[in-house]
Amino acid sequence: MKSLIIGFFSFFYQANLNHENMQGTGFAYLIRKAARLKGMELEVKKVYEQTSYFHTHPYLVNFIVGMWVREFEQNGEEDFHKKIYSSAFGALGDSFFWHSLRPLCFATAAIAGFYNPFAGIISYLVLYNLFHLSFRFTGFRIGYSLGRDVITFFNRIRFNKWATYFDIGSSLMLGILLSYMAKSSADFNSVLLGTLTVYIMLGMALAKKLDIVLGLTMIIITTGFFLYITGV
Amino acid sequence: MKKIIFRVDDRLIHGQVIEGWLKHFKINHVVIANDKVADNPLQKMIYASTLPPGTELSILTVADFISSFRSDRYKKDYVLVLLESVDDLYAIKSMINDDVYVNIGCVASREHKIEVSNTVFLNPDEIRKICEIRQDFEVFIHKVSWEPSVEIKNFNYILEGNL
Amino acid sequence: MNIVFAVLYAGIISVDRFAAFNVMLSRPIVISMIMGLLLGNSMECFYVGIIFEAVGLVDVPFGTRVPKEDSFGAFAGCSLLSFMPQAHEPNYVLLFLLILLMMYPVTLSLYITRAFNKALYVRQQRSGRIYPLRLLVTGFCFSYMRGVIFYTLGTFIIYHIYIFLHGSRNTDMNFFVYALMLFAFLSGYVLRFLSAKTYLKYAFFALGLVIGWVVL
Repeated sequence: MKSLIIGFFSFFYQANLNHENMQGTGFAYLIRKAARLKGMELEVKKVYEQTSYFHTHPYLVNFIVGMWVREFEQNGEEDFHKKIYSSAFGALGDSFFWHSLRPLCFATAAIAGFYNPFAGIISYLVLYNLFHLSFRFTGFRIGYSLGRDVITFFNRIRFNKWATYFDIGSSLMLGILLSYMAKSSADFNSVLLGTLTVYIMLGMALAKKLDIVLGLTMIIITTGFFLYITGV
Repeated sequence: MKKIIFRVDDRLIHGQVIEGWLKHFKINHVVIANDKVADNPLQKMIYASTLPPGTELSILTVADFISSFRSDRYKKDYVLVLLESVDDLYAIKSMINDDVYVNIGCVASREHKIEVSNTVFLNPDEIRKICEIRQDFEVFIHKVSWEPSVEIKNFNYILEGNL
Repeated sequence: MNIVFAVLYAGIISVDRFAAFNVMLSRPIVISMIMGLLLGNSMECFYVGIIFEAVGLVDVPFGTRVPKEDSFGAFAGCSLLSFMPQAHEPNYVLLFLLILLMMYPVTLSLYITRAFNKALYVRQQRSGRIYPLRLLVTGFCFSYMRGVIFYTLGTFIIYHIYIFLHGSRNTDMNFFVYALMLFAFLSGYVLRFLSAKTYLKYAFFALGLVIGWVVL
């Protein structure tokens, strides 16, 4: 239950995000809440100290909150481990949630949404939040029970490998989406198929050389000109 | 991009490093040159757990890094060397050559530090050290590889204004 | 009434992006499908959504960096496709370019939000007493207002510039083919961005193409 409560409050912990202390304000807020749930009242000075620079992945912050409270209770080095885990969980969370889960959810939702927009919305939100909410709502409990060894949980589930598996899944789903959309296009013909293939190759060639917005700007103009000339 | 990158980032391994550098350039060897981390088994395990499969991690003291760098250990790899502070960068400044790209990612705000960019805060001593390195090599502020980097050219005006 | 919902939803998008929740109500593909249902042009909105989603998949909020406002792109694109005058054929090139251009000032508003949050935090810090809850509530409200104001204002400005520029040259083109081609180009970016082993990645992509073609 305590883990669910902290999970709920952590929905709001980024609201003061800024370049001075990043998520430090929210972390101080969560720490005070978590300590109270464990029957401790933190000194004003301690809460003040926790508003200093802190930045991690928002879905994994509760693992750090749990670890911090446990270490604080046992007079451990809570602030030292907080710093290490903030960057480590930033790396793990960004890799999995931002880099890999989003493309997979997108491709899945787009295929569903092509049939029915409502199915698309539901499939994106359910698939994504299944992972997001699982980590958010269990984080405090696991962090508290494992303390400074909380990383062992991530090692046990081989979390750093998830991103690779999901990226492979995203490649597959992206392929399905593209060919399905091309095939379903009312104006489909062999010229369109060839043009789409060239466009994918062009995107791949420019991907790491040109900013995506600049690339998109360029392609908007050239494609518009191309379609205007050909009368498609 | 050059095959060897020296990056000052007080968070060491975090999201920007993995996504903005490792995956983007397919870097296969990460080195953390830091005396404290090299001496802490838990910290070593934590950082090792964050890397994508297939990436080698070496965590060395600054002195060990210097000797391993001299022995051409990293000759075949694409290497990212992470340093916690400008002081660590200054300690290995003799390793910098034309094949090394030196950048600063994040040095968080603490008391009495001068804001150089929105993620880099330095004190006068660190600025002096960067100035010294800058006499021979370029030093950039660079968050992620696909964003423009800002070359640190001259800090003298900051020093004159703030000291 | 649906327009009022859309404006209120703009605030939720802004909050969901960085301030709170992060349940992905702010993803362009989700925005486009919700806006499509709200405004009654689901298919066009869907195509707008996949384009801006592809931008957002590659331009990600790692660490301290601020990504470009892909959510605004989807919001404005869907809104404008619904409200454009029916008297003439829409000029999609102009529309997309204006949206991309407007993404920059809207992204800048995100920096303003962070600067505002910083000012509030530093002020309390200097006074020697920090009230985290107060800062969080203010940040939440400011972020919501940012969405309502900047998203609707940006869309409004694009609409008027579009009306002003449009008419000198009408371009009659198939929007769905156009959007599909843009998305195919962006898919190349997304494919390169995915980080699995190269041969595995492309093998599975090819397999996906076959499945999409044969099975679906």
